[in-house]
Amino acid sequence: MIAPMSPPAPDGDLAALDASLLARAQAGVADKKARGIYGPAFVALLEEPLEIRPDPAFAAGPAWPEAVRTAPVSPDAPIVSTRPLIGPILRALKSLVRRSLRWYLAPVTAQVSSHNQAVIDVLAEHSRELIELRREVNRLRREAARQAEDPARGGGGPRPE
Amino acid sequence: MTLRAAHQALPALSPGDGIGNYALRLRQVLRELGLRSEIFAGSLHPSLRGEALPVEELARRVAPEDALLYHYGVASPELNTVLATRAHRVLVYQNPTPPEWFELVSASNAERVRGVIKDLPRVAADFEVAITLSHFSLRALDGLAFARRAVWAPAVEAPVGWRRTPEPQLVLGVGRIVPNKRWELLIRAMAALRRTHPEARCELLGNPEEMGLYADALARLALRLDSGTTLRGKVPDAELERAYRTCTVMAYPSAHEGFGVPLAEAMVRGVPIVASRHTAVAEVAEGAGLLCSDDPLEIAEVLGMVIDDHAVRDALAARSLRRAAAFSPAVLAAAVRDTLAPWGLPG
Repeated sequence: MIAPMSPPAPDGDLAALDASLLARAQAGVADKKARGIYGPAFVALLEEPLEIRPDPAFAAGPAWPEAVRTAPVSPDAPIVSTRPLIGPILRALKSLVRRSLRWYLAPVTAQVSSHNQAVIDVLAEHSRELIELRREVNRLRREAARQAEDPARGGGGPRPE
Repeated sequence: MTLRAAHQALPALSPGDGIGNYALRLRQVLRELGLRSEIFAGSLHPSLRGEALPVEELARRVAPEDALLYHYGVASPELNTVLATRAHRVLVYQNPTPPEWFELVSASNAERVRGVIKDLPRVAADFEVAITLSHFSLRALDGLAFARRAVWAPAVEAPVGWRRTPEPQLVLGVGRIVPNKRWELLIRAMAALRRTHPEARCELLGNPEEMGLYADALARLALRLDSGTTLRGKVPDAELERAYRTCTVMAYPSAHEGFGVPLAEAMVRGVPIVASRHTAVAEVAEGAGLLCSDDPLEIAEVLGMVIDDHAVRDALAARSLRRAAAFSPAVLAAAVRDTLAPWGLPG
């Protein structure tokens, strides 16, 4: 059962008013094109697709977020010990060891993080390139299919660029 | 048997979020019907502490004879908790944006939406009643076996003492920064409009969270086309009200909406609207806004007409106010009452 609430029926007068306003707008566009306000270069500029730098995850797969998340390596992982009684002593000892090795660990982890980030950046660029190439292949396939079809056939609703 | 309580569950309750605002309004309506009503959320924004309970409380607080509404718009583990709770289950289908709109921009969003659409037939079998926010969204449920289906359009109200003080040539866009909203169309239209109205400017208010790649592309386009468009990001409520008060016209070029709350918000405030003709936009704005094609030049021309011609502007503002009556709290309350009545309502 569908509840008896229906979308509004277009009012005849409103529809006629809207049609006349839109006709006025279309005439205005034609006039501005004729007067060069909307020149061919400007119209072409408006028709350029939006330049989106693609999300690398579309090509890099489901492991991508984890790769990004774990790229930075920290020398300061949490120090834990759940051993009863001696737990606090163990934590203090671990903390002491860490502090004494900081001079050695900090530059090494910084270098590893830097390297990981560089690898992520390279992979991101490769993934974006792959996505662009796939888009181009798909565009060419659609173009080929369109040419093979009856050109009079109508299109559907709007699709993402 | 009379229904005593109707609760809601959703993955997250955050300020300024469309689903969250809708749930809060529904809770008010349900309580006014004499029902006990709580919101159970998987995560809760600190600013809304006290407005919702943890979803883990469902089993303890919901009785089998209660109604339990679940807002289904993203794939999330809260659904399993709802399905494990015995109650009259009501699916509030939030009609997510089709995944192809996230192509290039967000793989994680595309994946989440695919999950919702894929699981819908299986999920539907566990719910007695389905609710959508528009008739367009209701059609997405065709073929699924619900005992009852209904449209509960969101309710909107203008602040008390509302009065508009429009600035000349200020175009407003309100809505999340996501590709299905097609804000690039508005930016292109603004570039065209400024060929004849160099003083015209546009403010775009919306949350770009998780959509940084799209927001960056829009910002670059806005600059390259000298469109006079400023992307303001997510703004506080007071700032949003200021924008509704001072704009000349609101543009809404969206290609996919399950409802389109900013349209109703603008209507109830008497803002002239220029919108697209797609999905629920056409349904919600029908009779209020001027619905244009997807040609940015035509949109620019219509925006120019609204800016230049006070008769057009006043007519559209009056139409907005008239249409807003369909999105009043009373209409929402009546729809909720009609849907829940078969279970018996108090009083």
